Amino acid sequence: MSHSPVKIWRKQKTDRDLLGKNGTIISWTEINVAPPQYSSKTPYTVVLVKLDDSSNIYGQMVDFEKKDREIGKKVRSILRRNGDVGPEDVLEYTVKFVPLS
Amino acid sequence: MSSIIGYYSTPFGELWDKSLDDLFLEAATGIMNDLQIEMKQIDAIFFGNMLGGVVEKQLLLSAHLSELLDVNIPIYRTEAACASGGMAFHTAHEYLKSNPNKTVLVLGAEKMTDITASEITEALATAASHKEQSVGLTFPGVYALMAQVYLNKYGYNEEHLAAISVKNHAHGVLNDKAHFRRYVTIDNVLESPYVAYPLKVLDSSPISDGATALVMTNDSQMVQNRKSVTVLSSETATDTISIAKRKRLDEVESTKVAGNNAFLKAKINRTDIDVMEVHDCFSIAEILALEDLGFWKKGQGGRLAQEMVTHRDSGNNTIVNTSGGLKAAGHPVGSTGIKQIGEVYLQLTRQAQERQVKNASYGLAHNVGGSGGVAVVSILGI
Repeated sequence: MSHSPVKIWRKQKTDRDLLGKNGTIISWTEINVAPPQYSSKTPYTVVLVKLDDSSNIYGQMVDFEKKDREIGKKVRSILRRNGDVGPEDVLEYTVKFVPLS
Repeated sequence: MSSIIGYYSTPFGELWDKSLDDLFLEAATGIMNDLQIEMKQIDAIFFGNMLGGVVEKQLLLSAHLSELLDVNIPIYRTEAACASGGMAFHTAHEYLKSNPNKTVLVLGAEKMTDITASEITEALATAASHKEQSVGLTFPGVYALMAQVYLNKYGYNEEHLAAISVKNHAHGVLNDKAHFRRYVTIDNVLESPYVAYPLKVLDSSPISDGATALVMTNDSQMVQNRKSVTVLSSETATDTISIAKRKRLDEVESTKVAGNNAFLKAKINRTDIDVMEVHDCFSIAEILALEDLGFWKKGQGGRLAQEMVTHRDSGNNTIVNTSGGLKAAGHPVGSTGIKQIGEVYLQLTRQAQERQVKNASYGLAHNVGGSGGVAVVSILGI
């Protein structure tokens, strides 16, 4: 996908509404073969989460132990850096998930 | 009523010496030579290709075909990710319904091996939603999320998935056009490295180059004295691009809708189907396909996959993926949907050589784009 700074700027306007929310893991996977932007980060975990107060969203899961990474476990959304910087040198931040402890 | 009167396929695999144009040209001229017909007898061309714009940086491929084949007839391109080929066939079928006495060429081609694994992973991820791509989710990753839900809900494990690859590789051994012609064992699959947990390299269809061609007609003169099959139905349905927006993750709604409509139009029963090519881009996908097409009850697919009830040596009535499926035959994405129809055509016209299923009279082809955003289900009869 294109990593245009304008696209990142547009996305961050809605990302802030998704921070600090609790939800439940509906499904998860660990990615071993990734697109170039994420290649240096493999393996990384992506979860599909049902937020307590709205719909389903995706995000990477960080700072967890394996017992936390299961269907049905609770997580909380936080702000973290997203992948490597692209050709435009824009440092992108995005919504990720940590276990709710 | 439209008929298929011929099928041609290049070998599938890593074809270093072939460009996308070379593949298109080989498939088109190959079928013309086989059928002893000339381009001037073709009224229109329909072709499926997904990645020309991304991998080759080439769009307006219809003009490439005009140049390659020296024609000025209408040429229509369909893009529906991995269902691009099935969609080309479906569109050609729709065209023939409203245009009497026409003969059309249906092509599918994809060139995938000119770029690195990471780059092709990014290219294929264009068939996932922006939100999926922006969290580093890949195409195998999306299917992995579906597989996790399925395994967890019905109490299956990776061994149940592995059986699909073992069966399809056993079938692929008999297909001289297949990318992989070797047997794999359950242990081989389980020991192969993860692509996106729980899916491993040997749960996944490969990155392949290849092209295929069909000639379809509703001109009775063209059918005469040729090995032909009748297209009983070809139906397509859609669903959300994001799996996050779907009601259920253990089924593919577009497959259910297209499948039901295809059987209604064809006026035959599921028990009539002798051979079937279903979209096994990943092992989990074949299990979901057989359930969602109505052949297996929801949740029983893991067990039935493990029992290999659709293996050519099973003695059962419906054999699935005699070509080797996407897994073993290879998956040049724009070509796959045409290959599926072509394999059913070969089976129904008794031209499937070593892999011929005895007395096959009805067949089905099921082609999926993305993670189920598009499905095409076609039913053919002799």
